[in-house]
Amino acid sequence: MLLSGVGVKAHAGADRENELKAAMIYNFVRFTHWPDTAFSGSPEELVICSPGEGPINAALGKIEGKRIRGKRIVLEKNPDAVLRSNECRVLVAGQALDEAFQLRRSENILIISVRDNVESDLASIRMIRVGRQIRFAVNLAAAKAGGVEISSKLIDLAVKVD
Amino acid sequence: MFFARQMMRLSSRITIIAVTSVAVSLLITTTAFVIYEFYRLDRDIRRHHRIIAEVIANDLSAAVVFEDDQTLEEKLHSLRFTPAVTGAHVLSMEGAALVSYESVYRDAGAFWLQGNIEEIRIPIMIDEDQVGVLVLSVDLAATRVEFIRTCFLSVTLSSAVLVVAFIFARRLAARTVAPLSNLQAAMDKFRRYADCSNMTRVRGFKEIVRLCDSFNAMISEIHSRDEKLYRLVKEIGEARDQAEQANLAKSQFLANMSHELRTPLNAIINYAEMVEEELEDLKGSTLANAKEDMRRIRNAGKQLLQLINEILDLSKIEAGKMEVDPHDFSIRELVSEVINIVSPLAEKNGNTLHLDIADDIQRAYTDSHKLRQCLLNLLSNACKFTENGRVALCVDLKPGDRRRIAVFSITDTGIGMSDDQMSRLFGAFNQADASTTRRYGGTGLGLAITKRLTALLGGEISVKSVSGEGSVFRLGVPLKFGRAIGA
Repeated sequence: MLLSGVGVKAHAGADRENELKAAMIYNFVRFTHWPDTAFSGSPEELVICSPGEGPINAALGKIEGKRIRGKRIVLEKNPDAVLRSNECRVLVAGQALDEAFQLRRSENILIISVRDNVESDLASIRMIRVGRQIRFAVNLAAAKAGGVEISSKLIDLAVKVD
Repeated sequence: MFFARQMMRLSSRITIIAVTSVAVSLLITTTAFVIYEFYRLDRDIRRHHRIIAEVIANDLSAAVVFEDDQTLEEKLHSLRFTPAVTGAHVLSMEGAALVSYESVYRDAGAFWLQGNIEEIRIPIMIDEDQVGVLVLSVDLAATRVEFIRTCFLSVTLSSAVLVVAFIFARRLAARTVAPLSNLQAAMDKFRRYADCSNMTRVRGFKEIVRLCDSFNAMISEIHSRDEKLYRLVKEIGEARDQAEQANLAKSQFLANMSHELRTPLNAIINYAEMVEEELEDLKGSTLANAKEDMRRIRNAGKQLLQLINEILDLSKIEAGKMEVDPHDFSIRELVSEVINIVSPLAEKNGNTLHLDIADDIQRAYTDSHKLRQCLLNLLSNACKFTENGRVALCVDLKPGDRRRIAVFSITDTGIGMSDDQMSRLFGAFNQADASTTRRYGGTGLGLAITKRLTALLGGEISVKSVSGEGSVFRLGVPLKFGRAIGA
């Protein structure tokens, strides 16, 4: 299992941490539901947009090609493409992309903030470092604004629910 | 008492049968129910814990993939409210235990309740992907506890039902047997004392009431038949007495007849011998004696002829071959003729003979010969049984009768008769008694013939008498034949 061992425990090393975060993103997607109309453009794909060449993208590359509910995961890293594309269903927010958040908030999109301990009203899920562990918080209002539904199973695991 | 014991046995038997039937039914139904409950409980507890496992496994999927041990432990710990779950494990796809739960109730029950652990394995899925396995260990001892509880409840309820059934059976038996006991008592009373004065009355089941009614009807029928039988026996006894009396009279008649027949026959033979001897002598004085002897021979022959005629008449009447020859005649002439005939007999015994005929008695249309014979018999008897007394014949019309009945009353002041003698008076071969026959002679057929001839003429005859004072015979005959008095 890809996610086995990719738990919430942070281990030494930035690479390892990014792998954990990538695995967490994968699992977030598994417990998130989009309306069927969200995939009318490309029904067979689930596009994860992570603009830039940040360290997280290298880890996300490992989950590219996996299937969730029959849809193949596609990773879009080109910032321009991200800005133009309407197919992004997941937006991984790294550094200084608040503008992008602003642009995409009205679409059926799950915005995940991977920046540690940064408050944001735009991200539906944001990762939080708790001691040596990486946990996450859920913002239901943001999820609703983004047009997605987050499973209660995932919400149960959140350290904070807004 | 034997029957009472039988009744007691019947009562007990009814109770035993009823209670046994209920007990067997309860045993069958309770056993079937308990077996069904055992399998139902076993099935339900497995199904119940499988559902619990599926719910928990579904709830564990996120915690498994995020390896959130705390959440996993919390969710497994919720199983503490399910005592039958002795333990639970969440296994990764590689089979490693992520978290485990062990119940505090484990090994807490009695030893006979332990040992039957059912392991339920439920895959933990996210959509189509299996991310782990939930293993639930369920102790099926709860099934046994529930089963024992069901058994206890069933036995308790069955016992209660059995007690109620016993009470009802006793009442049913009493209600059934009590009327039968009453009936038995009534039958016993009837058997011992033939007492059917009080009809048995019972209340209860319809069949028993009908049985009692049938018994009462049978008793009434028996009583009625007893009465008929009693009457019949009495009549038979009387008939037997009459037959014996008739037989005795016949024997007496034969004895008398032998004498009555022998006497004139002896006279005929003796006087005939004497006439023969006297004719051999042919002397004047002897011829005179021969004439007297011949007269006696003639009288004896006439007496014998009368006797034979009476016997033949009676036989003819008894055989129903005596016919009536009605014709018109004068009653006055008939009565005068009869008086003339019996006058010598009256004079012989020193009696005075009186005749009184009503003016409106003139002619009649009937059999004058039979009427004459009746009057002759009655008047002859009156003259024969009266000495130095009075014999009277009175003829009158019966008052108030449109059929014009001539009543001939023959009154004498003779020896009379007792009631017993009168009761046998008109029987054949009867006279008052044997001594009467010896003293006054006669066949005893006269009155029997008279009664039968009177009946042939449509009339009737009656008698009143006081012993030692005299008798009155009343002979009623219709003036016109064919108008019977009794009709």
